[in-house]
Amino acid sequence: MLPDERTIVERARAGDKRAFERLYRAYAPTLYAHVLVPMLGDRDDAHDCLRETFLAAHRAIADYEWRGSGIYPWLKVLAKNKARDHLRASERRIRLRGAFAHYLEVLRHHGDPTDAPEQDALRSQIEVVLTTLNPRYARVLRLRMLEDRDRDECARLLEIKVGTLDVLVFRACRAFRIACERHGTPLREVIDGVVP
Amino acid sequence: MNHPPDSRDTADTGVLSEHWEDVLQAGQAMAGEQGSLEDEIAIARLLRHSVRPEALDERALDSIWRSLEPEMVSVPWWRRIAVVRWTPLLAVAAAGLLVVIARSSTDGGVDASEGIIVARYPVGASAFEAQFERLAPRARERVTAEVDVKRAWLRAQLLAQAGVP
Repeated sequence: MLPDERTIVERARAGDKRAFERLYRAYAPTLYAHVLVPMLGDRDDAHDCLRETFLAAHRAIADYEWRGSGIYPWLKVLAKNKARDHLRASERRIRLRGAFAHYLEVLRHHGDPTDAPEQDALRSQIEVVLTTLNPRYARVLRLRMLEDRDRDECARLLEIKVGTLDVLVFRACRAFRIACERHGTPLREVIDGVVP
Repeated sequence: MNHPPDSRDTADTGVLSEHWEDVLQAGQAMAGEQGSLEDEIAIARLLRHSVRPEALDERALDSIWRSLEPEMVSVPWWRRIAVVRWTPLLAVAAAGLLVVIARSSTDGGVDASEGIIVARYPVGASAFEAQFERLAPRARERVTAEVDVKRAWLRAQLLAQAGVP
């Protein structure tokens, strides 16, 4: 939340365009990265929905009622609805073109994504899933996807040919997907504190 | 077999980078399999997202803002003081008042103004609509937008309660 967010919101509600621009510049990147890209899986669609979100916000902000949690949750709801409308209008499934919001939900990655511990929680849940995989699959995903190591280094560490690396990555992604869905419910319970 | 080019550059290995699609397609082909890779691409993106979420670059941020500005008309004073919330009620009250004036002016044989002439006719939906538009221009648009947003909010709440992702 911005330090003087309530004042900025009140000014934006009164029609101050500069105040609204501050809200836009503060929250547009977060909505884009953590709501629209996961839901849509496409850069141009996410840009369009981001624009529509703030246009709707500008039209409705005069009636926005301040809440202690700030304006981000309200903007997030608007963004989600715009993304759903966009998917419905184009008659596409939510996972089409690599949208990954579904898996974020499975991992129960909720809360304010600008909050670093929430991003840490996602990483923790990914680690939980990785521990259930074939160790070789888990290792290639860690090296290549999570640690940003290049192909040659990954192949050397895994003692395989570079060409074989792509097959391993492909199979590891599939295994992760199956494990993620299979362990969806227990993971939810762990996060909700039902299981310690 | 052509392998996807490799790079540690963020732009090439970001969440939405086509690099991961190329890697997975190459891997699938080498494994002798075929079919949709949507779910595998989603997993690759999820993992990359956990490391470094897709960034909205400054140029795109500015570009979207510039495209928004022309559509952000300044708010008139009467909307700033939230008169709009009472606009429908005021419009109905004003229309009712005009009806009373119209009746009394007809009884007295006084010439009617343009507004009174409208009110002389049976007060149906179209007459109210006309009065409403004259008394509060663009209020209808405003009310429609408000209903749209509140309905969207309610829908999100219901979906959340129903546990729909």
